[in-house]
Amino acid sequence: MPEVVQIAEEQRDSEQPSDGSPPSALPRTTWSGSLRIGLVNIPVKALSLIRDRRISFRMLHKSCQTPISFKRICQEGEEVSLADIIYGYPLDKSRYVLLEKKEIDSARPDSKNTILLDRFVNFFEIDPHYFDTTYLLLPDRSEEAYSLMRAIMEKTGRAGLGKITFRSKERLVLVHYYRGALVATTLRYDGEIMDPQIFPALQDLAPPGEKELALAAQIIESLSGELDLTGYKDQYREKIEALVKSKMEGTVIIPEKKRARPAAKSLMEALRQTAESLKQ
Amino acid sequence: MSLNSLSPPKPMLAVSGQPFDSPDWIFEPKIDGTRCIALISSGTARLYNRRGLDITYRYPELEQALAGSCTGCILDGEITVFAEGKPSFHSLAQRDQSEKLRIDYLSRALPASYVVFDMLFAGGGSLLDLPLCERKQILSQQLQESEGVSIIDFFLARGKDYFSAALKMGIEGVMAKRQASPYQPGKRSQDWIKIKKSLKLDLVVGGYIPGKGERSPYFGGLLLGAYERGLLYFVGRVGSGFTEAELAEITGSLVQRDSPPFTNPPATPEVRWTEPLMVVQVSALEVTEDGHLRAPVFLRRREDKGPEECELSQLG
Repeated sequence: MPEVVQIAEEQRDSEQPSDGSPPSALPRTTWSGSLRIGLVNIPVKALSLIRDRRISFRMLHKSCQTPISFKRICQEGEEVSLADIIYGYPLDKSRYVLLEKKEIDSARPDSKNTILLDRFVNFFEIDPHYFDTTYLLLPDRSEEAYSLMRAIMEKTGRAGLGKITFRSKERLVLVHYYRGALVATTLRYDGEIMDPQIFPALQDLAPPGEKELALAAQIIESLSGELDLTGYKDQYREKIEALVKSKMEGTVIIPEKKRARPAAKSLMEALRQTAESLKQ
Repeated sequence: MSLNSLSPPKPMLAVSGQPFDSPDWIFEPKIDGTRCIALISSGTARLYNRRGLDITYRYPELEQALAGSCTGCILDGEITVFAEGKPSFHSLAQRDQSEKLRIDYLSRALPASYVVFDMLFAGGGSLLDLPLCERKQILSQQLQESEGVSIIDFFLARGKDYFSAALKMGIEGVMAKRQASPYQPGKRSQDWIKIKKSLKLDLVVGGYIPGKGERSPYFGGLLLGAYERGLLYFVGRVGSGFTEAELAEITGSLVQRDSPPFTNPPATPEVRWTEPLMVVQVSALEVTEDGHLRAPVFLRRREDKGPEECELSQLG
């Protein structure tokens, strides 16, 4: 896909909550449809199981401290409205094959709302390098069928393979069991993962000597243990959070409301008085 | 019995209705917020939303206030944030956060209130089977009010006056509750009736989102606008309230065009634009602060009204 289109799409995605509202706590449903296995149809809702916890900042103008916004400017220095944007496939730095948005859109696959699971594989034999991102599937008035599917996937350790069309992209998807739920993990296409062997740095490496190999094996053995990710924290994130917190206490003025009595009480009393004053 | 081992009871639900008077009923203000069941035991409080999800982390100020408000009890009420003396859905929506730093900040900048209207468990026993008026009495004896925790007021018998007063004061509506009724967890009961105002608006269709699934022959939602000084402003989208016949009829009357008729077209993916010719009447809960409709429902087509007569001023 031409790069410009991708950028425009990313912007569109990020523009959706453009009212400045903060990200909400629980992810929204991003896809709804159904799983189909043979003649069985299981309506589900999908939402992202992955939480992006990267710290984000707003850029502000130093002097007035208001947020920076962006304008679309062409090379001639003119501001361009969305309606005046077309797309170009870059041939070189100044030549483009021009495409209308309509032409690009017509090449996209139609969104389908069925994931047809037509093959079941052993989940533990799949090369994890192909895993992309994971969506949680929730029953959509299909509790009984969902529960059956969940039980059988847990019991057999199998994953159903299908295709999902989502945001105009067709992806391969694995539907499998994870911590009491059915989840769908999208897979990268074969060509999306490079073969390390194309890198010259890996070619013609001399094989290690027996002694060195034995010593290295010994070191690895002594450092081996169970994987426990709970012990690892994003230290950058923690430092930034501590910094924000200390500045928040110090400089951000928090409007502590001086309330003689709770607003709820005042409101309800005023309501009662108004109701009593009404003519029957 | 330990309260900690209990899963939260599901809140009792109300049916919709019209204002009425009856000596057997009481009327409460309808607080526009997040329904919340609170479990309080041995100095700790847990808050659960309508779906039983633990939302305590979001309101540390309420957790603290409730922990000392009573012992061994289950409460039912509504969480809201007051702005200018009234429950503000907009302010409450800002409290929907997962980052602890922002939660800490907002618990002070936009502190929430818990308005309690029922008590389900107290003094080591269930109150579910007691009549509402007795539960209310126990609630007023057991619960210590504070800045963040209030017991709801109620009005006897004169529901119509109370409803009118609520509308005058800009409150969403009132709840009517039968005095003799038990608490029926998870049930949508005839013993509770919500009486709400709703806005009726006449708006111009300027686009649509193609339908999916069962709706694929028709549209998924209509994009609506209203005029001000000759410009059509997008105000929201309606996707519910259509009969099959209405879907078919409206789909057949839409006239497509290439460019948006709106001055402020939404960046909705897959949208198709239409000539601004059709007028529809929708109901909506309210107009949000940024000028959009909340929970719009289609009522009917209005062939007796011209598009240019649909003015933005209806939205207030």
